[in-house]
Amino acid sequence: MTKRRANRGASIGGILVQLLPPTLLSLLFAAVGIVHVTSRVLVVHAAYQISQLEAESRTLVREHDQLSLERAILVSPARLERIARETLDLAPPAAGSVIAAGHRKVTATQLDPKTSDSPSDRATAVRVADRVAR
Amino acid sequence: MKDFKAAGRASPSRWVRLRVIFLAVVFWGLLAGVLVRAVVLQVYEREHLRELAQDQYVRQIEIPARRGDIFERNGLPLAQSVEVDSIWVDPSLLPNLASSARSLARALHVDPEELQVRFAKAKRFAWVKRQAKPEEVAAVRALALAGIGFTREPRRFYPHRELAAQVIGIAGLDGTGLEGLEAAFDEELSGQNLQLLGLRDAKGRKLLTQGTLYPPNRQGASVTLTLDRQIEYFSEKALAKAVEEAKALSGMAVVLNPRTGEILALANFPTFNPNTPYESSRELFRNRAALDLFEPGSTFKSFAIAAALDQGSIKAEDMFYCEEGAWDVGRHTIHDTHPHGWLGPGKILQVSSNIGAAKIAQVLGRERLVRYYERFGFGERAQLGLPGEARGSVPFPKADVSLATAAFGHGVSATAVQLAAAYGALANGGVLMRPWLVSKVTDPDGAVLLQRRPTEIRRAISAKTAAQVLSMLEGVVEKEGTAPRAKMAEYRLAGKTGTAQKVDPVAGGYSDKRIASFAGIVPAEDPRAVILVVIDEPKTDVYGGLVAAPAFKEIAAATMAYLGVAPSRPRALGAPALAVNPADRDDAKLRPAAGASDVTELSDRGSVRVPDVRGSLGRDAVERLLTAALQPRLSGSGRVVSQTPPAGSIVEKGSRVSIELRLRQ
Repeated sequence: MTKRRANRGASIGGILVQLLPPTLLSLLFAAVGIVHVTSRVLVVHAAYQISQLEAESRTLVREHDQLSLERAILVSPARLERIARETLDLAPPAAGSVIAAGHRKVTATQLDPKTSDSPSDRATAVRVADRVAR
Repeated sequence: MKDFKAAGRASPSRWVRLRVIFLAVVFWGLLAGVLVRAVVLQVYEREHLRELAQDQYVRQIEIPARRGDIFERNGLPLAQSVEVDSIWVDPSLLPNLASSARSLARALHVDPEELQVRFAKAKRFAWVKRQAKPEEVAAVRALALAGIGFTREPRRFYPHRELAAQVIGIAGLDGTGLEGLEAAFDEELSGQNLQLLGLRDAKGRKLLTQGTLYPPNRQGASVTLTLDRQIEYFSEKALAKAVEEAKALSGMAVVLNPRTGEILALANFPTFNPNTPYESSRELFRNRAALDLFEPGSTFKSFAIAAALDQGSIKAEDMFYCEEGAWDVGRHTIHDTHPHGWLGPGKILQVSSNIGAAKIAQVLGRERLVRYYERFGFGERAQLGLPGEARGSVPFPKADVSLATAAFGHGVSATAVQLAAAYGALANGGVLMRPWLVSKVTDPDGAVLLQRRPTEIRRAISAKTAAQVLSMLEGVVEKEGTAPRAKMAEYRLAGKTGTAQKVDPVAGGYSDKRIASFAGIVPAEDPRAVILVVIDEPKTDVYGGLVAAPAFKEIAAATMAYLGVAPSRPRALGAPALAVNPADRDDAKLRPAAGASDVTELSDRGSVRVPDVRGSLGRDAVERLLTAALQPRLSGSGRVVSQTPPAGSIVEKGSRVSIELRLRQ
């Protein structure tokens, strides 16, 4: 009787059946753990990427602002006049040397239908600076 | 024995069971304890523990907002924010406070003692220099001091320096608007500083676990002005010259589009550089042209006479006796600069007779004079959107002398913008337009928060009266008028001088100090600009015609050329207007001869033959096409390389001829 019982208890199938639930449970826990850890790694990686892109965006905005500022400084009327006078030996056009070949479009006129010019009428005056004799 | 043995065998198994039960109870108890503790930690103390944890590794990361830009009408920035480095220090990490302060002071060109005191006061944080220059940052980096840190902060830049400085105003180090439009539109310009919870890793790098806002969403709105940077520059330059030549206290100038009310230039002198405001007196920050009141003097006569003509109280041909220069009104005597006899309204304006204007005001009556002044916008705010804008005053003239003086702009007060806008009404067929300075406020995502359009306030006078007054004002710049210095060879212009005595605030009454002004409209036949120049306390000459009129002329000439306004008086074409470069002169021999000979007009059909302008200088080509009654359209610069329609084609007068210009290779 005892021998029979021992044979039954020692059968491989029985052992597997007994081990299956804890094994499955362990696997489940391990899978959940791996998913959790992977997701955390991905989140941290994404956080680094966001930070990096944010920094990159700020750098690009900064560069854009600097270039825009530089452009504004370069086309400043005072600077242009100084270069025209000192480097190019130019002087403001004498009275009568400006020929109006059409109205300059001023945004004011966009709002005023009475004086509005169509975009094709943007022919501006021929503005010529006098060259100062060296 | 058998029973005893059986009892002896049973006893250990009971003990085992008891021990197992005991252990089970202990483990279950421990498990329950762990579960209870877990519930306490996770449920009841959750928030407290989360805060403790966040204190350890979660940091609040602030991303500063970018302040919106201020643009002139053509889209070029007048004020712009750029991120620059600020330098800070943790004094506890500095190896030696005194020597470190000295090294930093040398690199930054600041007082070392001040730095040392600042470091000594702070425990873990002190600013070394905010918004430092790139070379200063590089110098401090080169020192490689422990405890030094760098952070980026937005700094406000004004790329055109003094240009429209008082209009734009200034923003402080922390990006708050302090003066001018920077203060008036601070709410719109300020963006939204972003506070984010993020992590700091072991290397101090930030991790934005929550993501971030789309950058434009945290940026301030941009403000677009009606000012034109070129016209503003012409105005400021001419004004500075006039103030310096007259050894005056200050000056202001306004250029306004009379059709729309847009302010194209608003100049003040002396001025300041808003990039370094601490180097200038606060007095200079004030936008006097828009905010300060003054007694306008004779420039007001135009409105008194316009009112009388519009009301029908006088006619253009009526004559008034000007008492040979002195007229007693009650206990007071009104004087003219020169004695005059009988003068009509046009002549009264031309010679600026106080007595003539006073007599016209008498005919018009008190109520009507005040009512007309108010219709021209005096006594009500111009509503430019600037803080502290003055209303001005047009008091009811109870006394006879008050009525007389009100006719020539004493006892009343106005801002320069109000005065320019009122002249705008004369230029705009009698319709007063609201002057405006800010045309648009736009969100970074393109949403328009504010859009101004030309606004008609009211009709001040009839179009017929406006034309009549404008015609009279044309006489002011003639030889017999008070401002022949304003006269322009190419453009007809209408204007009026003003030389007002200044009120002495201490002694009361009027002082011997003057405000000289000139308000003009150009061109008179189709007004494109109203220009007002006001010079405060000139010393060399005091009259508006001598001090302010030349500045007006300078601004008007530059503005008309810039706007490409056709001259009122046709110019003889073909005359060389420029000094020609000798190199160009040689080339000129090669090009076809300019002149009327190559223009064939077929008058019976209203058609012309297109001249051959290929090879000509752009300037010559334009002159020849205009002579042929054709409308040139240019592209490029230099000499003409092609033209459409081709030479010899017969086209209707006024047709467009496109010419392509290229520079010599």
